[in-house]
Amino acid sequence: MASHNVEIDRLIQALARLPGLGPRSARRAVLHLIRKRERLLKPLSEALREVGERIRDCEVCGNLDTVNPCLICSDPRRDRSLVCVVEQVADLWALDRAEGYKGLYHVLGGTLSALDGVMPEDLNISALVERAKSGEVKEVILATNATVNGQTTAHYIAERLKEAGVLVTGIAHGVPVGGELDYLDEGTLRAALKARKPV
Amino acid sequence: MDWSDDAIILGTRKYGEADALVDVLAHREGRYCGFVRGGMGRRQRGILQVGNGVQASWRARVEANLGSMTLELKVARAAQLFARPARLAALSSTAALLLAALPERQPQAKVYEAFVELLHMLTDDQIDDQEWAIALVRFEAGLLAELGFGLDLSACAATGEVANLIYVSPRSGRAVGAEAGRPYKEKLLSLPAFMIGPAAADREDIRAGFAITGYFLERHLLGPLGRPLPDARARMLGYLADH
Repeated sequence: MASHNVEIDRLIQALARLPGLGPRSARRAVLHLIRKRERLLKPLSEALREVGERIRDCEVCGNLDTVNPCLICSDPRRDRSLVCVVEQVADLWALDRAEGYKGLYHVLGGTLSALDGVMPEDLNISALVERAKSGEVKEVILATNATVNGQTTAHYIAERLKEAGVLVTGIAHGVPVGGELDYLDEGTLRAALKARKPV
Repeated sequence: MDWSDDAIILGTRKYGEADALVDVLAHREGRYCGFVRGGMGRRQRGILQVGNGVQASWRARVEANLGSMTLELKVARAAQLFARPARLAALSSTAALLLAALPERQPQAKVYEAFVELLHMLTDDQIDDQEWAIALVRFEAGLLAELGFGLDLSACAATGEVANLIYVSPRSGRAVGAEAGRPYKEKLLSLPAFMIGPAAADREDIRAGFAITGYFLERHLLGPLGRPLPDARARMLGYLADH
């Protein structure tokens, strides 16, 4: 690295491993942090330490939070009869940012993959079936990605949930907001046409 | 080194943050892997779905390099199967099988053409589950033959008779007649008539067909690589049995 200082080099190396950063941008970030150490570096290191010490996997839904069960699972204002199944924590956060859904979530931790050898037992599916059987849940919304693996996983879960006797639905696929038909791929257009509804 | 060819996506792995390593089966070139810049980005992720037909252009400085690939979507098949669990599982299973069994960079035009035909059946709503399932059994038997492990279903391995062939020997992969096979029927695999020639097939025949191809795929192609049959294949058989 170029700082000639072991501690700073270690920090640059650690930052360079983050998504979106390489060695060059990590060096710039470190220099910026050092220059503004009171306003940025110290609060950042404090926040990192705190999260590092307190972050937990929610044992109910698989979300990441500093409390267990997570704040979403323990929120009494949430509709406990709805569970939305997502692949990753990032998907949960994305859906919750949209503020269009007030139910609970369940994070699978990935998708079934013939290529990578990911099997049902590698995912958080058994816990979902148990949740669905609890009697409190009335509907499970499958919000896996619109990919071959995502949809394969959704069908597998739908089969497994038959024994739980809950309503299983899937999110719609089609034209994104702001999307222009001319620029969409044929697969998306086909899915959009198939999922058409009365206006 | 470079080529451009019609190809089908067999698999995509994330490489770095936004790039991908993509495996394709190209018509004239066979199975190739290449680096696709931005393959995991919003623009290309939809294209890189298993089963999609693409125009692939591969380029490398020397033959031994991984090479980089650019892909242009020609037929979006994957999205057509999203709502069809058995067909989606058949697609995943077949792509995983080809990925595991086909040697890299060897022309496999016959396998490519048979795969395109199978995908055409899977995406055709007019074709029922039984029809494509029979086609898939034949595809798997054809794949075994293309890779040098073909089944010999032309005559009985013991007597040479060509009629009444109802078993397959798990040892030799050859057909066995009803008479000659009777004492060993517990050890032999049931041979459905549709695997010998044009014939009607029911659910049990299709299950028997998949049992034969599954046995030999595992024994000759996947076993030596230490791999089991794709999990998606078992799921597909489950869907076919249920519906």
